[in-house]
Amino acid sequence: MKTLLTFAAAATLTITASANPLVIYSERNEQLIKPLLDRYSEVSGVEYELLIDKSAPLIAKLKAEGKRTQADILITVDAGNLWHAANEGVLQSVESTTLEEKVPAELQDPNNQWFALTVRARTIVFHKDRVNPADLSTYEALADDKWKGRLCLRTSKKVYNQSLVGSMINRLGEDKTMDIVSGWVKNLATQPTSSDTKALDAILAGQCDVALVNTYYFGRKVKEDPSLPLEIFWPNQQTSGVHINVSGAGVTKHSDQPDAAIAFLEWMVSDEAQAMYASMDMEFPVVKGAKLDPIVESWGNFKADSNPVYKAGEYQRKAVMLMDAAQYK
Amino acid sequence: MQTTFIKRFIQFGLAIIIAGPLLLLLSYWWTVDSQLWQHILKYQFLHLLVNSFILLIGVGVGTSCLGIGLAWITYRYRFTGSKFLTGAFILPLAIPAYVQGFIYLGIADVSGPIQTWLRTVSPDIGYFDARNVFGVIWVMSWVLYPYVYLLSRHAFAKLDKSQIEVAKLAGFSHSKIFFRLIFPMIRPGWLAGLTLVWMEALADFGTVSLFGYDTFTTAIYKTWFDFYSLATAAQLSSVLMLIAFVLLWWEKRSESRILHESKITLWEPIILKGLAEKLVSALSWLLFLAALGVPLIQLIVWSSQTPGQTWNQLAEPLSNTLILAGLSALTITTLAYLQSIINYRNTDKFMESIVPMTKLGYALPGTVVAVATMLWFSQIENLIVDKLGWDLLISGTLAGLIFAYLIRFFSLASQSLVDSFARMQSLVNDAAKTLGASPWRRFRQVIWPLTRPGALAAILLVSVEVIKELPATLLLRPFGWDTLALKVYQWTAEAMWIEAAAPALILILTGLLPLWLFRPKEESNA
Repeated sequence: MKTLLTFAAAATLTITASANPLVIYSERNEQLIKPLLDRYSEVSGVEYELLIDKSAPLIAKLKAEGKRTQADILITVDAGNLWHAANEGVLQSVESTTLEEKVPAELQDPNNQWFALTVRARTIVFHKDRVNPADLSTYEALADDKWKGRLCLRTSKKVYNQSLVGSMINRLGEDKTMDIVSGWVKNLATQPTSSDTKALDAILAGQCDVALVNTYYFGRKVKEDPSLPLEIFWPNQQTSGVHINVSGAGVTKHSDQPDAAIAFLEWMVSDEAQAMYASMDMEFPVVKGAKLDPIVESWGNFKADSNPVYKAGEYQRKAVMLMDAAQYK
Repeated sequence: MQTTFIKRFIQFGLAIIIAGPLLLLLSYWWTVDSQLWQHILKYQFLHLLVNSFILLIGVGVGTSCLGIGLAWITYRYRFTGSKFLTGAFILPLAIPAYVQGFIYLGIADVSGPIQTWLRTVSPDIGYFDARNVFGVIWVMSWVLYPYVYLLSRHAFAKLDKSQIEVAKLAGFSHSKIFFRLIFPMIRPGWLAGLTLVWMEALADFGTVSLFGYDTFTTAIYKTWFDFYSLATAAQLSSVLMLIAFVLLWWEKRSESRILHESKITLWEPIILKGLAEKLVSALSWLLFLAALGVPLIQLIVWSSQTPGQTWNQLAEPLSNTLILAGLSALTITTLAYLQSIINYRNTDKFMESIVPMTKLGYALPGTVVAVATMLWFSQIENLIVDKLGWDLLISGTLAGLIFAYLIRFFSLASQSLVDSFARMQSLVNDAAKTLGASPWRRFRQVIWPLTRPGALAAILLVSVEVIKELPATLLLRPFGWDTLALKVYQWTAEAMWIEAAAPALILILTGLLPLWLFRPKEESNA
C-alpha cells in the first residue's frame, strides 16, 4: 500500500494539481522565464511548477531526490553548469530530431543530455571618447601594456569569466593563458567588480576605459539610457571569434513524463519561443533566423567561437585554479 | 532519577534533531580530493582564515561600541526622544546586511553621488575605492550591533544601585566603576550578542562578495559553485563549524554566574538638560538616522521608480512571509525555552557540552545549511520509503521549511535566553520549591516573569531573521510559495536594484513590525 503522507500543516498547502504539471527546476530567474512558461501553458494546456535556485543546489537536490524527484526539466545558465549537471548524472539523453536540427552541434551536449536555448556573448565594451576602437583587437591583447590602469573586470568567481578563461586554455594552452590573465590583472584599474553592471558603471565614472561583459548587461544599460557613451567591440574576429556562452535545459534523469518534457523543449526552440526568450533578456536566439531584439540587432553580426561550449565545463576547474594563481580575485 | 532521564532524553533528542544535518557534513570526509585541497591550502586557506579573523575582530569592536554605547546612553540618560530611541535602536536589524552594503556602496563608491560630485568640483581628486575591509566592517557593524544592544540592554536594567554607590563612596573612578563593576554584570548579555554577531559575520556571503572581501565562507562557496565539489565544500564547512564550536564553548565557559541580589535598588536615570541634552540627543538621533534612515530613504527613492507590475506581485509573498515568520518564531522559541529551562540549573557536564552543538547552524553559510538539511530530509525520506513503504514528503512542505529554520536559527533563540536564565534566581526557585509550590505555579510566578524578556527577544530575533532568510527558503519551499526575500533575490541576482527596491522596502518594513512589537522599553522613572 502506498500512502501519501504529508505533514498536517503542509497538506493543504502543497499543490496537487489533477493533471501532471511539468515540474521545472530553474537557475534562470522568474522574470526571465515565467512569461515564456505562461505562454506555453496557453498554447499547450500544460500546467507547470517552478523552483528557482542556483544551479549547484538544484543539482544537489536532484541527486538527493533520485528516483523520487518530481522534477522533469532542469534549466540553467552557463555551459559549465550544464556540463556539470550531465556529469553528475541528473539528466537523461534525449532523442529528438527537432532539437538536433535546430540547435547547432557546438551548442548541445555530445550525448544529447542538454541543449542550449539562448546564446550570450562575452565581449569588450569601451568608452567612445577615451578609446579608439582601432586600438582594440582581441581578449589576449587586453594584457598589453597600453591598457595599464584602463581595464575593469568582474570577479573571477563569476562563472562567465571562468568559461572565458577555460575556452582560452582549450585554445591556447595553460602557459599562454596564464600570461594573458596575469597581464589583465596587471592592467586592472580597480579591484574586480561584483557584477558586469558595476564594471560598466566604473567605465562611466571614468575609473577605467574598457571592460569585459556579457552583451545583455550592456543592452539593459542602453535600454535605460540610449545616449550612453559606451560601445560594443567584437574581439577576435580575425582569429577564434567572440567567446559565447549559453543558457540551456535538459530532461531530468528520473522525470516520469519525459515525453511531455521533450515536447516542452521542442517548443522552446520554435520561432515564437525563441524570439520571446531571447528578447526577454536581450540575448541571441539559438535558432538561426529567429527575431532579435532591436537593440541586439543594432550591434551587428559577429563571428563566434565555434568550439563546443561544453569544453568550458571540462576546463573550468583548471581555469579557476589558474585565475587563483594569477591573483585574479 | 526519572526526571533526569527525561531531561537527558529531551536534551539529547533536541541536539540530534538540530545538529543532525550538520553532522551529516562530517560524513563527507570519507573521500578527500587531494589536488583541490592542495590548491586551497596553497592559495586560500590561511589567507582567508586571517581575513575572517580580521572581520571578526573588526565587527566585534564595532558592534560592541555601538551596542553597549547605545544601551548605556538609553539606560542612563533621559533626553528628547530617548523613549522612542530605546526601542528604535534595534530596528536596523530588519535590514539585510547585503542590502545595507549595496546602499552604502551606491552612495560612497566611485560612481556614487559623493565622489561624482567631488570630481565635478575638482577633477583631479581621483578615485577612492570604498570596497575595502573597513567598508565591510562598517556596514556589518551597522546592521549587527542590535544583537549586542538588545541582549545587553535589559542587563543594564538589572543593575543594582547600592553596589555602585558603595563603589563611589570608596572613591573609585567612573571608568573603573564601569569596567570593573558594571561591565561584568552585563557580560553574559554582551557575550551572547557578540557570539551571534560573530556567527553571522562568519556565515555571511552576500555582503563580503559585494566588497570583494574574501573570507572562509567565500572559499566554501567557491569550492562548491566553481570547483563543483560539494564534498570539499562540506569539509571546509566542518572547519568553520569547528571555529564556531570553539567560540560557543568559550562563550559558555566565560559565562559568569551572576550573583543575584534578592532586592535590587534601581538606579535612577539622569534627566539631561541644556547643552548636554542637546549633544546626547543629537548624537543619538544621528546614529539612528545613519543606521536606518539613510538606507530607508535610498530604498524609497529607488522604489518610486520600480514598475507597478513588480509592486503588484508582493501581496502574496507578504502574507507568506508573515505566516512563516510567525510559525517559526513560536516553534523555535518554544523549543529553545524548553532546552534552557532543562539546562539552567544543570550540573550534568555531558549534557552541558551538547548545548553548543545545537547552536552551530547559525555560523554556517545559509546555502550549506540548506543543502545539508535537504540531504538529511531525503535520507530520512528514502529510509521511510524503503522500510515502511510510505512516500513521505518533508522537503517541499511548510513543515520541512520550518524545520530548516529551526536548524539555522535555534541559536538565535537560545542565545536570547542566555542572559535571562543566567540571572534566574535559583534561591527564590528553591525557596518556592521547599515551600511546596507546584511546578506550574513555580513556572508562572517565578520562572516566567524573570525569563520573559529573553523569550520575547527570541521571538523577535527569529521572526526577523526568517523574514530575511533566503537559501533554505529557495531550496525547500513548497512550489509557488514565494516570500519577500525571494522577490528581492529575483532582482538582485540580476543586479537590478531599481526593481529590487520595492520588495526590499516591504521586507524591511515587515521586519520592523516584530522588532517594534517586542522592542525593549525605557524603564519608568520611578
